[in-house]
Amino acid sequence: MEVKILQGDDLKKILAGAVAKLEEDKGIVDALNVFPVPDGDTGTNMYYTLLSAHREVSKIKSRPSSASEVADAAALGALMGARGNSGVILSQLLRGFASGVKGKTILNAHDLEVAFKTAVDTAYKAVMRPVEGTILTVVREAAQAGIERIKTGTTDILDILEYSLQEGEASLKRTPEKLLILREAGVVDAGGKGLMVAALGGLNALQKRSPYEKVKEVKPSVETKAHSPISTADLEYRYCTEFIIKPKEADINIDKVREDLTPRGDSLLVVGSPDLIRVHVHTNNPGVILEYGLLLGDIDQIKIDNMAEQTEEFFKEKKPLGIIAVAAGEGFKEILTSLGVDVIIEGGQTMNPSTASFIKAIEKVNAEKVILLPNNSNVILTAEQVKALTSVQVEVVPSKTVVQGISALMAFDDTLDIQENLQAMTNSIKNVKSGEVTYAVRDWNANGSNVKKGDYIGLHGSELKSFGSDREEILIKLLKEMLAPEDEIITIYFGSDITEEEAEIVKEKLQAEVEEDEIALEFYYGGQPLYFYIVGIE
Amino acid sequence: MPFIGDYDNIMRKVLVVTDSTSDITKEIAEKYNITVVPLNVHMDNEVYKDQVTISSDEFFEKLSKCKNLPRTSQPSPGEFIEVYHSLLEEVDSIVSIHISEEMSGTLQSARIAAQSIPEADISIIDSRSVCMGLGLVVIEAAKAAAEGKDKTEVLRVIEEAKKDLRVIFVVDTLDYLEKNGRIGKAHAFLGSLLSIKPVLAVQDGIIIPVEKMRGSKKALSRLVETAREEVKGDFLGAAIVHGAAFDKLTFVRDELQARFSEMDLILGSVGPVIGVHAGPGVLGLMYFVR
Repeated sequence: MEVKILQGDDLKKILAGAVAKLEEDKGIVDALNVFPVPDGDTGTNMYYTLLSAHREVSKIKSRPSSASEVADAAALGALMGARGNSGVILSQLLRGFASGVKGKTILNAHDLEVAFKTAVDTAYKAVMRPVEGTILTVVREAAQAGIERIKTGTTDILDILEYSLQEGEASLKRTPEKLLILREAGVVDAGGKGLMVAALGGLNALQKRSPYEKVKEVKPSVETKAHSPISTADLEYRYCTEFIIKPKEADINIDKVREDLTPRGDSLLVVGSPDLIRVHVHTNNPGVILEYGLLLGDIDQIKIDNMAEQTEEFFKEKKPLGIIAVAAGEGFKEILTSLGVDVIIEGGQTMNPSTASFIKAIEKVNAEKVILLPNNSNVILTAEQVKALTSVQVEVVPSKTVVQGISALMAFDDTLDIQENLQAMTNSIKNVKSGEVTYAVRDWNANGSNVKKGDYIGLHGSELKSFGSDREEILIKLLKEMLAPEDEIITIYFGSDITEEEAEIVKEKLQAEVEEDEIALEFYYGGQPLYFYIVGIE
Repeated sequence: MPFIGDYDNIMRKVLVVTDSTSDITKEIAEKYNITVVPLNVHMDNEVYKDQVTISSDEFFEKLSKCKNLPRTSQPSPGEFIEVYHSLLEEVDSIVSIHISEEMSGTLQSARIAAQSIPEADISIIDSRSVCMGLGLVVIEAAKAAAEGKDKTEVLRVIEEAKKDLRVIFVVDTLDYLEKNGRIGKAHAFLGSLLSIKPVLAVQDGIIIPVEKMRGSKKALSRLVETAREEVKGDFLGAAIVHGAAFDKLTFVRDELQARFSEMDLILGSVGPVIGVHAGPGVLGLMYFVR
């Protein structure tokens, strides 16, 4: 089957098909949305924009309607109902299309060529800083393919649109190569996808107008790959190849060169003048490209990069600033990691880590500069010594407890340099009071209190605040001693010797104690040995 | 001769347009003759015009019952075209100031609208800010316009205001900003296992992290301290806004009162669109460093 002309009613049909298909698939499009604002509504917005266009079109009274009339109505409807960035771009495509078919009753292939061009131009003009790898790229390349098809003499509009759609799909597939944010999220551009969905719906609707042979449905082939980082295996073309050609013949045609190289790879750029041509292409066979250049003349400034290696190198790059903390307990390790610590050295009160373990951790963190959080008064000195033992710049935040370490991490800002961070983090230590509940390993006489071996003791810093045989009472007493009127939060990290049930009971008891003071109480599993409870008050 | 504050007796050469993310009140909009184009708020299957068909209070009440995450959308170019056309009957020049392009497509719609009326003199300005940050810039511009200043002068006032503007705020949770994709550079604060009150700022059009705080009062005090450090003299032409958190607003106001001898504050609440993205409990402080 062939379609040589489009009437106004055909355009209506295309629009209706596009709306229906977008309604069906808008969820898929929404899920891809990461650029420019990852708010997951691209498909929905495009759907409502086209729906508004469709409503305006259905208001047309004249029968049959002219192509120009339908295009104008669609453009107006889209403009009034445009939603979201991609909706606005869509409205501009329709506006451009309408201006391209102004005054036409019916459209033939040549009219389509003109309208494709005005549509793309209008959309590009509407965007202040067009970004490639978006709906703009997809529509431009799809339209370009359609135009090229028309230039070969094809007059069958179905054929032109199918070809255009196919190239659009290919272009969509390439969007992650052009836009880093898509690559990182492992998705194709949502706006481009939405456009392809709409185009497919439109084309299918047009195909169905003939009772004859049903043209096979062109299925969109790229779907979301939710959030996997790009793997080097995903690079379709591996070698970035660049060189200049100084042609032997004066009458060389740049377009011909571009055409010849197109099937050899992607990201192709052929620019220059007939006496100096610059070629840039991503290919799997740089030799063939260079041979081709030699046929035309002398080649120079040859540069071939393996992009797979570039990508790998990129991932191995050193962090500018790393953090190493000393801690004991699974819970604390998780909490510290969640606050930005890169490497945790096992240790603490009973097991002070050596300088060697710091050096090992510094190698592991692979950063240009490193901040150390000793989180224990006995470890601060060791950490200080590490400075002289490594070529990496190391600074020590003098945190005496893990609670102080956490407070210091609150002030960490990876956009600041190491000195600024050191200062902010060291200051932040003062924001918190640390306490702990443990037991006495020997008889102890402190400030006239006779602590017996095995007694539970509550410590604030090195000061004894409470002692006795009831562990929970010791905790409550300790907290009361430490609390000051300006305090807002008590955070309790329970140790590996406390069961969940015990922790639950303590939590309820404490809740009742602090309720009237408007103090927030937070409980976390620290998993530390020997210390039943570690507390922070701020 | 018109007395100070009586803006009605002066011939305006320029009119100022903004969008509803500026969160300026109806009274302010009327006083300074500012036209506010509303964004849309989508809650479950309803669509509301920001601060026109849904108020801030109604929004926060509905939010707790809303099944799906509410969405927002920019005004269509057509809506801007209508507004511009009607204003062009009164003046020759329009200055249209909007929410940062990084946060919304509103500017895009406005720009397309302006392009489609090529014969008109419409300046489209990206405030690089949002909420009362945008609001304060708009008010400065509208004051200048109301004094009869011409377009060039109004634009200069806007550039000065943008340069001096500071927006710093606290959210109860980063969830809303994250889910709606407006978290900007504050994503660095995500993932913490401990509950934190993030102090954030708007800088050059996006949200940036300032400091993680434990405890709401500490975070609010941080806003006040930052303002005290940055503002040399009196605290004038500033604003505090809240999202269903009036107690926080009074706390910040009182703390500011204790630190500044002279204050001139606009107290307000965030509208539904900002509410969708910042969530309940948000408290923002906007001021000029002058």
